[in-house]
Amino acid sequence: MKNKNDYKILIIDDEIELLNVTTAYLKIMGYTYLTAVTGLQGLEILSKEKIDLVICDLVLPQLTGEEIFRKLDGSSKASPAFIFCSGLDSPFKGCLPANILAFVQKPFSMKELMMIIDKHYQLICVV
Amino acid sequence: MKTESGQDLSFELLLAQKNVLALMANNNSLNEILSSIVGLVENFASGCMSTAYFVEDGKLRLGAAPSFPESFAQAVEGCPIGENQGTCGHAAFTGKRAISTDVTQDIVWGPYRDWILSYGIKAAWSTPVVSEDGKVLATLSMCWKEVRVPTVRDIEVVDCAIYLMRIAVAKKKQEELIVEQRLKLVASSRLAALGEMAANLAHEINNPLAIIQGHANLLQVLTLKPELPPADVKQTADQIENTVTRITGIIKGLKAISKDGEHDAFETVSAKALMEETLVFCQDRFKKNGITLNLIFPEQEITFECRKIQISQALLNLINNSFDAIQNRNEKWVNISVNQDKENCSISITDSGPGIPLEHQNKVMDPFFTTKANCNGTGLGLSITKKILESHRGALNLKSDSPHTQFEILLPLRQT
Repeated sequence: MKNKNDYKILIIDDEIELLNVTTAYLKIMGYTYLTAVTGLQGLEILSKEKIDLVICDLVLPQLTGEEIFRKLDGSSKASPAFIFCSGLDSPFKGCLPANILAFVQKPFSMKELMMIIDKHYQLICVV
Repeated sequence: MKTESGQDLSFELLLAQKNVLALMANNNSLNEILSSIVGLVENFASGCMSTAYFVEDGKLRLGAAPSFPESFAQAVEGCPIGENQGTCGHAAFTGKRAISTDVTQDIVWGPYRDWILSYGIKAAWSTPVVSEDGKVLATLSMCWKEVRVPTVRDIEVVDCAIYLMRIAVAKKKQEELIVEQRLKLVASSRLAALGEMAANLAHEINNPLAIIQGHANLLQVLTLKPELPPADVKQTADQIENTVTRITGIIKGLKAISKDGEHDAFETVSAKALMEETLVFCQDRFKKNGITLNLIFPEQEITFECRKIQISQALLNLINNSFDAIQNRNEKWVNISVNQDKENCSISITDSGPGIPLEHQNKVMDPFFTTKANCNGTGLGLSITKKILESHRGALNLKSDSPHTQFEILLPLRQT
């Protein structure tokens, strides 16, 4: 079983204040995280670090959230799970593709986000 | 044919015609023009009393009847057109000349015979003014106090008058059509702009709302701690406040952009603040499409007097044009640089596009010129922008010496 120190979350959002508040919340909940403010920066971290979960804004400079996902998808078994968020409506119609845990519409409650993260953490780390 | 003064009638008619055409060119009212046409008829056909009526929705509407008493004009006003409804009504209905050489005998007068005789009219001829598509627009009548058959000269005079009336009424109709279409266009282009903005707006507002929600949730969690650090609470509250200010700014901008601004007073604005408020509406779209937006300001603050909403609209038009032009290119950027000299503020908007083709350069600022496919452009953006700037005593220039597409806005720093 991995503990929360081994379970790494990457948050990609160009809205810095939203990054700050989300990470403050994750910290209280005991999670380990990294942050990126552009798609390229996120991709760079993903190429170097073993990330378990990516919380990613869909509207990003340089590279959109979906582009990041497509670049990673199927590239390795260790592909992280994704939670997408956006202030716009969900672009995903019907079932979410495998590896995408959820689409959360902004504004979202931290509790809602934590429930999804907790569930994923339990699934891959506790079992 | 010679006139009483010995002049050729055609020549004198031509001169009179010229005077009426001058009234049209001067945009005199249609009633003034019709009065002068009726006057022309009465001048050239002495003893004749002439009237002009419009035809609207199957009814006669007074144009001019200067030689008749008020009661006559009022009686005809609103009369339905129809067969044998007097010469006017008959001509308007059939689209053909109606000639009653003897009012007491002709069936065309139907129910109106006694009425017309009460004005002493013994003969009356009406000629319809027919549009190119065959619709009767108006009628012109010549009334006489004697039984009378039209002479060649009478017909020549009336045909000249009809010719003038056709131009005058058609011109008026076209002007009305233009106003109507312009209103529709403005409404639809504004609607399109608003629709585009509404999508952006959801994103623009939901982001800061997410921040507020996050801080509220953070506070809820913090209260679970035995000791709540005041510094943390303060920081959170400050952030909420800042974010609310941000949303307020967006809503203020939205209100501003959705109204006209044409009659606003001039106010002194900071170029930077104006630019930031304007960009709220498009920066997301740029980001989403991978377009880099660079703002270049000098160190010193630039302020100028303007109608803020209008300048914001002018800027948005240019920025949105850049967006449309480059969104599918490999190299995607827009640079906006602001500068000032002693008298003017200049705002250059350059995009990564290859520039406007030579053959379009003279036309891009003309109303309705567009190269955007189908419904994407009204062709009004640049002409509206140009007009706004001219109303500020400024200018919109296309910089044809740039390797890229570059527009320059020039605005005087002071309006007074």
